[in-house]
Amino acid sequence: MRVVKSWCAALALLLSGALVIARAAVQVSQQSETAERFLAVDVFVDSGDALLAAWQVELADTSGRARVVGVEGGEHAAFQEAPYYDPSALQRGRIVLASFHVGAELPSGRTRVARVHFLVSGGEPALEITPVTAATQGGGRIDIRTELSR
Amino acid sequence: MRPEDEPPDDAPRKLVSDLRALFPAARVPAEVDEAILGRARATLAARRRKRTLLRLVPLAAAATLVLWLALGRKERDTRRVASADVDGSGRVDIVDAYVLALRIEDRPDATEGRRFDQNGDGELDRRDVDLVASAAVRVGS
Repeated sequence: MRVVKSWCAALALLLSGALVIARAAVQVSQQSETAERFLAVDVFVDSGDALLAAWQVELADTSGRARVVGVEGGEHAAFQEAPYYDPSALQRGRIVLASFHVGAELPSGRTRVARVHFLVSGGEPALEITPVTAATQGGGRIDIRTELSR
Repeated sequence: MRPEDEPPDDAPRKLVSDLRALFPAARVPAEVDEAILGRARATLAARRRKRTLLRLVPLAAAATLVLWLALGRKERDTRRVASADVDGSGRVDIVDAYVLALRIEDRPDATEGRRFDQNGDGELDRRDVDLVASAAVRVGS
């Protein structure tokens, strides 16, 4: 009889512990779903061998979880200033970025041209970048590849 | 004697001679006749000139209107803004702004400046470039 009582007590203790743990897990999960966080994303443009004088890309979050809250310039001296963007795109999930440089010192290859800050709610955003157009020195249009890096 | 003062052909001769004796023909000196005719001619000529001038007034007004419209159009043409699609690619993007910025670097003359002016101020400067770049990145609502 004493053995049965001990087993029952242990079982009750285990069940209570399991309930407490499960409840805590649910709370953590709910908090992570509603929590907002900032996310900085680097925008890279690869112009290959061509000098990059002007570029334009479109950046969008198809999940609806991320909103643009800030835009910074890039790494190369030619594109260190913040690119052109529509201020009304802030607080939305879609933005068009563009910049140019008339000087002779231009980058080629893979270059970080901008950094975009998002405010993300819930899970992971689905960020997509699309090249719009680019030009090399003098205005001739060139093909570019674009890339995002977190 | 004026023709209407002549008696009819069938008037009695006695009556005609009596009337002529009673009302002898008035004698108007030739100088007076000439003076009256001259004044009449001058009055008629003045009236003709006035009519001619009155006919010319609407013509002059129409010509002035046409001239004003033509000058106004020239002025409007001068202030017309250029297309933001500077390189004629069929769309406005950052390359148009870049090409425009390159033209500024080349120090364009006044004619060239007006040709690519975007904001209607008759000059090509950084504000025009910013206008094109802003149009390129505009996000629809």
